[in-house]
Amino acid sequence: MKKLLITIIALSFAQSILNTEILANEIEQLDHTSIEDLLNVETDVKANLGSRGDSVDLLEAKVPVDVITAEQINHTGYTELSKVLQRFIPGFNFPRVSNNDGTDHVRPFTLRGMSPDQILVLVNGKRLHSSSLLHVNGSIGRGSTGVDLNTIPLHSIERVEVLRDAAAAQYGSDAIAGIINIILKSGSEEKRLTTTLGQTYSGEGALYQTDIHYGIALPLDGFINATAEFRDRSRTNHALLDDRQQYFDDDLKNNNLIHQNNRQGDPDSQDFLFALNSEIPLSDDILFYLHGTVDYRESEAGAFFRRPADNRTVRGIYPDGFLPIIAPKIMDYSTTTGIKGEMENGLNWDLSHTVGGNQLNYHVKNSLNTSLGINSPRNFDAGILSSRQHTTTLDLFKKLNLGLEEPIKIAAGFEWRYENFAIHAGEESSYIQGGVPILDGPNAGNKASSGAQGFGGFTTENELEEDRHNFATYLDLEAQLLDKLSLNLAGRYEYFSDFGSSLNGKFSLAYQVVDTLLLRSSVSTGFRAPSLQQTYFNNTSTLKNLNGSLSTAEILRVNSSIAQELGASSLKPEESQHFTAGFVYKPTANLSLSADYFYTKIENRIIFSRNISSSNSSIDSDILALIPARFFSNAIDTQTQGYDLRGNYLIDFEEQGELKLTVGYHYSKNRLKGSVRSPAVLGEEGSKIFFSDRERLELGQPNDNLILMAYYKKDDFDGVVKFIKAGAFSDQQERPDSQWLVDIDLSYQLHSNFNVAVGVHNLFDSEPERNSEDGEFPRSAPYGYNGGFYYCRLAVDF
Amino acid sequence: MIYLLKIIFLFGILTFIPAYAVDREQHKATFLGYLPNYIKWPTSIAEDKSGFFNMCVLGENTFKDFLKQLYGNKSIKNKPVKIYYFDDISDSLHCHLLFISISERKIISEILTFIKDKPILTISEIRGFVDKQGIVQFYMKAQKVHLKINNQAAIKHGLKISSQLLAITR
Repeated sequence: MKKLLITIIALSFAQSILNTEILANEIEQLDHTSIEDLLNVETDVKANLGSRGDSVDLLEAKVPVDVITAEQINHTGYTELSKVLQRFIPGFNFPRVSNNDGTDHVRPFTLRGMSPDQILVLVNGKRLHSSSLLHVNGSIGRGSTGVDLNTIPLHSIERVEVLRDAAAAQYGSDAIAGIINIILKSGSEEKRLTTTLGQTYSGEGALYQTDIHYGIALPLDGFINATAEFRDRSRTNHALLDDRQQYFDDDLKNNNLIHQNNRQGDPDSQDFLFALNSEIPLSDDILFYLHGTVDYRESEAGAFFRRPADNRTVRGIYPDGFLPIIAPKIMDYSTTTGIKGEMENGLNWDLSHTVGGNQLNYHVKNSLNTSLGINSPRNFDAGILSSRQHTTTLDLFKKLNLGLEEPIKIAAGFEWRYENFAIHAGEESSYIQGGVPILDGPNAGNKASSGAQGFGGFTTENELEEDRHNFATYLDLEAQLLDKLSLNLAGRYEYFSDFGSSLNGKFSLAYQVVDTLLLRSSVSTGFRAPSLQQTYFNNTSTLKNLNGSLSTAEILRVNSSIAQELGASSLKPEESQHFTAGFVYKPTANLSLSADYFYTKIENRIIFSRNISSSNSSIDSDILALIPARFFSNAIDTQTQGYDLRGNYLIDFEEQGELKLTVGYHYSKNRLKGSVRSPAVLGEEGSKIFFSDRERLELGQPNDNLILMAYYKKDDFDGVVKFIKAGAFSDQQERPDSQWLVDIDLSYQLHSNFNVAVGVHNLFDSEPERNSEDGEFPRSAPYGYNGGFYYCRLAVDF
Repeated sequence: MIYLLKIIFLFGILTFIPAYAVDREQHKATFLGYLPNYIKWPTSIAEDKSGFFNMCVLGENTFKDFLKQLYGNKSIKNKPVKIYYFDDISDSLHCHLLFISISERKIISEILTFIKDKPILTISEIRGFVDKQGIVQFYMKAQKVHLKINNQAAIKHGLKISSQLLAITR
């Protein structure tokens, strides 16, 4: 490492001597270029994140930023934003979850192996709300809520900026692992219809997607553009044949062929998406803007199969058992309206209001309520989770000339936010104890299970509507102290109505050693406010134990009397400390390399306990004798450290086309720091109860991730090949090996208005190793287990 | 020794493979020299063989040294190029080409009124520039520089824009 650093610095000095010559060559090249060619030249990518006020060149950014452009997105063949980001950002994890209730339909994503709620997502620089869903089952991100990125139509996106640095001191709560800023397409020129068709090699997972993007020009470069999309994906199923005994002991049907009773794979889902972006100049100095997205999703995934001999099966309804289908209907929306301008004294101002919401309405099909016996309904409305967020911001920005190398950039602002979370009960039959006992079999006459099988509805006792508000103010200074040394200082104060205040700061330095070498570093503090879902969610759910048996458990609000009896206390914010240091090396205009080390320490991390019962704790509670309970607590401290490497290389073969090579590598290690702080009332077992997720938190996501990409363009042909290595991870105490995948996308401009493309994801049909215990695919496999997928895409400009 | 050879090899590759990724401001600067090829100035100016092709930047210079590097020793319209930077529009009447920096956006209407009907090719990236009777407007889309042209404004300034350029930017 030391050798490498010395080499880079030495090369930088030598290279800077040659820079004049290189620039002269570039000028010479441009001299022989036509204006048509000039209009096709791609300039350096810039990002809004990482600097207030102006957009910055990625290679001059004082903090590490990745940018994925619309063209790159278009060449992935993916129709979901989370999958696109996983293919471009090493360290971005988006596992394919299955058999996890609502999580199957709103899948979480993570950055740097941290939690889904430790990433701030912005749209056009404005905070996007999180989903109403709390991931409570055995998935990556258990115990968290997160943003559903797949609610945004891909073809409405101009670029996605990913800040790989903590920035809570600038942007507020959640910006611990990083920030994702989605910039919607501006302008009115594009009018395009795109259709994608595809399926897996095995013929499952059929995809049909079509969208239309249309823009209208307004005076003074104003515009309104809209994107409407329909996306339909069929399920995939990799569940093993169910070789368990299905019927009662003496039933001859036990000798029948075994079936694939369960489902493990992607759900059936349909999405209707819409996005709008507009800017309307009101005068020379004032601009009105409006942007928003809407997604309506219907999705169906299997719960666990109830065998014919199961006590929960009413054999008069399902003589051969049944697979309950969890089928939520999800509505997600976000709208920002704002007005911005510049005053005579050069003060830029921006006042905006964002309204966002997410509603997840649980439906259960092909099910029953055992306790209602033979008269039980088979379909249920199981209740609604709902969240809303209102955010009003005022951002101010001004450049002040104080005689330094460059004017000082000063940004300041205020933010007010209101959050609301509600649970609405399902229909009565989805949760009641109907009183009908088990009707037949060896347990006939015993008490039957309550509620809809697969997903017991929210009860009237679960119902709630809670809210909070917070106020924030920030100050951000950016100054070029010396010719080559720049500084960024930021501070942010927040007050939350439920837990109090948080004050955070950030200090970063960047030093341009020579033109070709930039050194950058930052230290900061941050925080994440406990979500309303973590504080208030309560429910009963069905879990699959390691031995395959099913059990139910109660999720308790931390302020409930039972939780208090178990030692629960009000949730505090997670507090974080960060350090990052790295360099950008750009020896020639066609090559750039960057490396960044990062360290994050999180104190009071909010953890979701495993089941607490009278058998695994010293608690002697009547309710725990009947049903185990779980709740949240600020139980642990963790540290995350690692590094990111990036390389970009461009070769122009002149008449023979252009080749862009990109390499990205991420390494991170998440570890528990110190001991687990469990309630004393739980006794010695408390630490195990509160950190049963240790395997998932420390090893459940790949430590490393490598992405190699080659993009070739010649005339009307574009081709992209990606090689992706997902590192090893742990799942249910097993550690599947790392996995290689290859993606290809080839497109051809048939006519000025028609582009056709074909492609393959996972060309060699690679699959993660199956668990040795039960033979199933690991549920947290980063790239899923659908194997190869091929598709074609047609785009028409009109 | 092998390590050193590897470095020299890498350095050699990096140095001699041609470079084409372009700085955004440098690229815009390149357009300033190209656009006059597609513009016809009034005969009195075009046939005046003496003097310079005056390329002017009004307001904050975002081009750094690029204009000097690109055109310092070049000719445009058969005239050697002279580059001017100034903050006051009243100094601009001798310009053939006037790039109006985004720092001047608040007074853009006054600037365009001041040089109204003068044979000056006006270029800017100020929002709404061509709607306000500027001639050529730069705007960025997908990392590429795009052009908007107001041919009527050019005619008012006595300039004729080639049909080729109009076709490309339509």
